Amino acid sequence: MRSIVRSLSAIAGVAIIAVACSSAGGAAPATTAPTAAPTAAPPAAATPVPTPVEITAPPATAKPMTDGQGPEIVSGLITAATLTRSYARTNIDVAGEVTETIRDGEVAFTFDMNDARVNGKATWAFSVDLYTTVGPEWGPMHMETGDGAWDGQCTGGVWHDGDGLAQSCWLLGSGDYAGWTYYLTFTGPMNGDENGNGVVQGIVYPGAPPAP
Amino acid sequence: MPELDPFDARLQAAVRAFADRVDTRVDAAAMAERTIGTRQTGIRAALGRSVPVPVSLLLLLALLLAMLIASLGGAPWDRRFAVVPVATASPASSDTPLRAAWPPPATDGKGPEIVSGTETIVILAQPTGQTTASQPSLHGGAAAVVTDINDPRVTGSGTWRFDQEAHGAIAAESGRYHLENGDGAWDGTCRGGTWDAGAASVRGCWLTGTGAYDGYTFVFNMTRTALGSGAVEGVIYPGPPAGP
Repeated sequence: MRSIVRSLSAIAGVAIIAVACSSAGGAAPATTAPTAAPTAAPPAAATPVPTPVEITAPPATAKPMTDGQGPEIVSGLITAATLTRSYARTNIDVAGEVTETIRDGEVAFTFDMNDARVNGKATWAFSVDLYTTVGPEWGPMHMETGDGAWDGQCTGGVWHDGDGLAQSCWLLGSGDYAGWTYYLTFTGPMNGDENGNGVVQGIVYPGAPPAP
Repeated sequence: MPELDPFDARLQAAVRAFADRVDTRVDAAAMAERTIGTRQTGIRAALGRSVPVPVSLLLLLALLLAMLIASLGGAPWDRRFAVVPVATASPASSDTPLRAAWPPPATDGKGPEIVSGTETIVILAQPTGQTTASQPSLHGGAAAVVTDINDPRVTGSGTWRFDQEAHGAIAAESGRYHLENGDGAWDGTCRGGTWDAGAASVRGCWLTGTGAYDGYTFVFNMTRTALGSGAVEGVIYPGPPAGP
């Protein structure tokens, strides 16, 4: 019994010392924090530090790559989209008809695909006829990858200023892809995956697009 | 009592004999040890006192207790143990409301709308023909379709008549699509790709309306990755098909 009392006394003593040290350290300016803190410190360090949140990395895509040869089923994501050329927006505002037109915009896409032949960056010059917030969208897409390029037209529907997309593209290959066709459909972030990426599905094959 | 004298004499002699055999020497070291006790050393001793658990464990418990008290007591904790970056505005976070708005709710069936639903097909006739590399075309495919979409104008049944150009296990396909219900019909063309013997396919379609849907266009993508229903996503708007 006496030993237990001694032990508790020892714990209490050390605890008091530790609390004192902790309080002193906490009252010190943030600059005294150990340098082992994350290097990705926010620039707005002067503001109260927000409650740390758990940032979950996007789940690793179970994406077995094709061998990049022959006809293939391709799939992947649009992981980034950037407006690279501003568009002309004209308000027509005729009830029951086209309310706005959007012309000559250009967006750069980053594709993360399961086939090296269609994995990379692309530009899409787009036009839209808006009927309130929805309408048809179309325009040429150009994609370059390591060994060639793909060019062709995309057409489909758009809503909410491009947050939602249902596009379908027929691209013809050049360079190492001459004589090949790349057909793809893609979505916008609204109807994309759980991380807000556009979802891409398609095929690559040696031949021409089918007649409309 | 003269009879007791011999007894007293023998007792006295015995006492003297015992006294003569007693060792009266003193071991000073042993005496000191008994007086101050045995000094404890090793992991179960602290400041010379015996404790019931290893001292290192006590110190660890003390440190944890200190941290607990500090966190409860409001002492500023500089989160030096936080290893995740502090949250900043990111495209992903701003996209969360977008995803929350998908799929769209049922429409009122009027005007331009975002549409989403399913398409189920039943193959009525497989396309036939040559499948050599020089002539990969297959013709005459037909399927019955049934759509279940959030807008009654494009919910109905119809047919999908298609041709294919086979390239190994995949094929490009194109054809005519007809959809109807009690108030009108939609007709147009679709093009896309198919694989897994037709179980999976993706295609884009442009249909124009007749009857109550005259003057409207229904443009959509259909994505079916396995046998069964495919997802339909697109728009309806009061205007002609547009594009290059």
